Amino acid sequence: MDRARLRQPATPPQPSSAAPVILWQPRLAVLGIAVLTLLFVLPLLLTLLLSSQDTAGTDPFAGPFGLASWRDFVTDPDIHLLLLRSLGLAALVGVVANLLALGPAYLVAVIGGGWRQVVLLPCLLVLLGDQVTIAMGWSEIGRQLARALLDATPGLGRDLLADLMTLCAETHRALPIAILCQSWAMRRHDPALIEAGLECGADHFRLLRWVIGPLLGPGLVLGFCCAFALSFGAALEPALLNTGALSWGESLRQAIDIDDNWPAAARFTVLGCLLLALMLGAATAFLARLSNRPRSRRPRQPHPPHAYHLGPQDPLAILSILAFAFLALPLVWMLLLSARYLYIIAVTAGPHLFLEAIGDDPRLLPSVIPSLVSALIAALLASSGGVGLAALWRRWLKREPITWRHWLLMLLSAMPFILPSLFLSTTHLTAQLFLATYLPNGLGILAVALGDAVRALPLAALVMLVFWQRLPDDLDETAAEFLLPAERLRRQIIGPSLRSAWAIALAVSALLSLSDFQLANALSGDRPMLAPTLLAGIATQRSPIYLALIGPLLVLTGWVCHLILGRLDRRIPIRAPQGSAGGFSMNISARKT
Amino acid sequence: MAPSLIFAPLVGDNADIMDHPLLQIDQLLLSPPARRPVRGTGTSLPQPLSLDFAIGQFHLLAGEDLAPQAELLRVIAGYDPPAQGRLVMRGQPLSGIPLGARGIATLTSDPRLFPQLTVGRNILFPLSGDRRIGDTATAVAGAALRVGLSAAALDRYPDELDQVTQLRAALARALALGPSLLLLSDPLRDLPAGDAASLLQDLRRLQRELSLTVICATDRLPAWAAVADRVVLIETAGGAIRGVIQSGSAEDIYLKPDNRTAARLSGAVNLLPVEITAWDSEAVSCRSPLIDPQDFTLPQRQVASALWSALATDGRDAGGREAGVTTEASLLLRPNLLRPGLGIRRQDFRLEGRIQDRFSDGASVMLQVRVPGLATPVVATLPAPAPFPLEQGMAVNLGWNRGEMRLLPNDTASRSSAHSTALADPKKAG
Repeated sequence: MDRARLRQPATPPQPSSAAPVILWQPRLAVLGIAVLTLLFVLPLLLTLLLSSQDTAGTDPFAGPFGLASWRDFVTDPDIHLLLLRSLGLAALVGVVANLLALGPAYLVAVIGGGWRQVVLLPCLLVLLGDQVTIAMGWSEIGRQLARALLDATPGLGRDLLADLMTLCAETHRALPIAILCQSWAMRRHDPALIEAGLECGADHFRLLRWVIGPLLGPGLVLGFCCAFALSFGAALEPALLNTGALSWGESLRQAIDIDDNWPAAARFTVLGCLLLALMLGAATAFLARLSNRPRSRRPRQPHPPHAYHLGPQDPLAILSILAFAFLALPLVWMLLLSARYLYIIAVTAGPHLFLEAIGDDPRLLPSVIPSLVSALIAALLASSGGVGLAALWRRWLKREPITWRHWLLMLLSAMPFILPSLFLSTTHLTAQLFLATYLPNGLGILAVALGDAVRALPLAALVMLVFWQRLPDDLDETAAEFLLPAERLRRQIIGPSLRSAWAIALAVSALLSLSDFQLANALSGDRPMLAPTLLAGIATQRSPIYLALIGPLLVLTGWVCHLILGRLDRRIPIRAPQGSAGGFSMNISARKT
Repeated sequence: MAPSLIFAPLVGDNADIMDHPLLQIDQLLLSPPARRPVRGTGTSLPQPLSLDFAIGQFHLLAGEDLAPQAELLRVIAGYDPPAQGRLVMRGQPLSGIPLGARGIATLTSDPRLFPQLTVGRNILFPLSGDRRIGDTATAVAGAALRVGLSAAALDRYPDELDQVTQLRAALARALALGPSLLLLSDPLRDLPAGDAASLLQDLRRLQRELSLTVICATDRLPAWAAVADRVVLIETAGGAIRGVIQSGSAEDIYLKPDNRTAARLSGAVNLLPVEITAWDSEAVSCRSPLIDPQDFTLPQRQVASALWSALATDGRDAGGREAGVTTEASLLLRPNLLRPGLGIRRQDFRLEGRIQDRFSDGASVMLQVRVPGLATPVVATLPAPAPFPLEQGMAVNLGWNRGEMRLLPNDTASRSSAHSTALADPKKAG
């Protein structure tokens, strides 16, 4: 009963064996790699080139190129201070977000039942909802707190409160991803062990500590990486919350928007990407070590459809309520604010005048069509590339054990989603500048769609992978017995299995595109886009029309998220297209038998 | 509606215990009734189940399919909610009482030990939340000793132990809870025969020592019958419980089954078609051209109660045989009660046939005897070595005495598989 022995694996690692991956589709993988390379790697390389331009403030790509500017950049004491501060804040956000995520993730992965929807809906809403609205929620809360606290106790620093609210806003933005990462890790538990633990009289907090705890490693690592990256390059929250000190993201935004110093912005971006890549590299070593541990081979019980009882006296219930309240606070705040403005408008002006004012607004309606078009293009591109990326990830995940190289490749290919959209907008801006300088014309409005597409690409791939993983484990072996050609496998197995995934991937990518502020703001040029228009309307002008509109927009987003969740949880039986089976039955369960 | 089963009251000092059974199942439905009957099951919709379980007894829930009974145990333990009905334990309804507070422990064929904890820590897990236990190390050692676990096993991880030791550790953890009720979902089904027998004896010993109430669900009644105080035969179809077939001691059910399903579940069977030719208030007269003598009479105690009731309500009991009226039934002959002979008549009844096949596991010999006029062979088992050489193709008589047969009604649902069960699945047949 030595506690130290708990950390030792019970049995030696099993020998490596690569399972056959017959459903492997090289053409799809090539498509995924091509999209990723074109939209992420090439702009990144161009940014790297621009970062080595020695002359600042002049035309981009005008040269001369060298390492002198980099030497000055990395030896600047102000940059060191800025870097340390940003890294510290990002690490703090990573830790806090992951600690807060434990309770909700347990609700999603273990308690199950209706709790799953209750937690996942606000998670998706924060992840896919309008960034400006959510950041403004924290800004409004900060303003009310400042009014209440600073008036009562003048000694309390305004800057301290602004920093605290920035920390809250960045943690809030990272919290859904931390919850999703941890619940993914927790979902690998055996429900029979939870039931055994509950039967032994343990509460859920104790089960989290003893039964689920050993599974948490990968979820914590991935959750920390995502939260760290989001906070490290955040610019919207510090800008809206008027924080006193500069962060890495704010410095980058300042270099582009105020100083027009493109090479400096490129250096901020490249160094940021490099640091994040190094962090992902360290994470891969840990993930590879975890995946080398022997896994139980016994068939697991299906997860019960109902929820386990969670008593109010359980410490986990308190932890979950805290996290859930934190997650829902800015959303509820903005909904109430919007409802208040809607009520005032309804009482004073009436719906007719309200609709008239929306129609007369010079930016609101003109921004809707370009945003929708851009979101549609981004969604189509992300979903198409996502299938390829999912095929690639599936092949790597089928390996046993998964080596650190495969973990690294997976995390690097997922980097566009983890990467702060400010970094992505810089790389795409650089690509545009390069095209404008050396090629006949720029990308125009398409740049927003391309930027959004590459950001949504890993998320779309994840959705595809979720559906793909629902195929029976031994389907590869079964398909191998029949020696079916790749084209037939694609038509009869992969196609039907991904039919529902397409709709979800398209919806998720479109929502992500519509809600993103940085890419739309940086790449759209003079054309109005929805997120920057909302920012101008809410934050700068505090227009009652805009403030009234954000509530219905949040509700609409929530409804779409609800539909997505419903489709994600629904297990639709896979059927091959009628008449195309050609003698190969698609009754997978029967074939498995 | 299924009959409400209250176990027969015990005599003497134990009678008051039976007035307050430990667990009462009242009108319980495991899943909501389907709008239409399950196609192909040939049975009605699931019926609400009512059962009482007396304190300190070993109850066996036996049926053809384990899954619905295991589901019933999950509902009793509190893992799953019932669709309808209620559970009462010591007079208190169990609804709303969470899983760990019911005083119920479960043991399944999956030991469900926490893989990252040593066996000792696994046993300690339920004890560590209980502050009344002072010396936890002593408590763990005591719990391990009680179930036959060695001290060395306490410091090892579950994956390093064999299946039976894991099950013993799981049993020690379950008993460490001090449960009022232990639910067993056939934990021995995956064990080798020797280990299963040893653990079965230990389970019985612990149940008696601790005066524990045990409910065991199984689809292998013969394997568990020896340790059961009471057996409840459950009718299952389409993955759902349809009702209670029969209850009583294992011996009663083996020797006096009420129908063909009960007979088949409780052991190997031979069912011979017979014709009821007459009956009165005390006995039934039968005829079978296969049996010597062809005409015979069976007293009421050797007729299944359902059949007897059917005959009694027919309206012809007083007048005896009516011209042209016949009733078909099945004559149950247990294979172990049939004795082979070579022509000398020593028993009251006999069948004549030829040995079609012969099997021996060293301890017993099983004969398949082809009887002219009977589609399926008759099975007889006898202790090894056989009293005389029994070779394939040899003419043989199978004899039995008057008290060793039972008349059962012909229930259509189980007719087709009555003989095949005994032959095709010798493991189930025990």
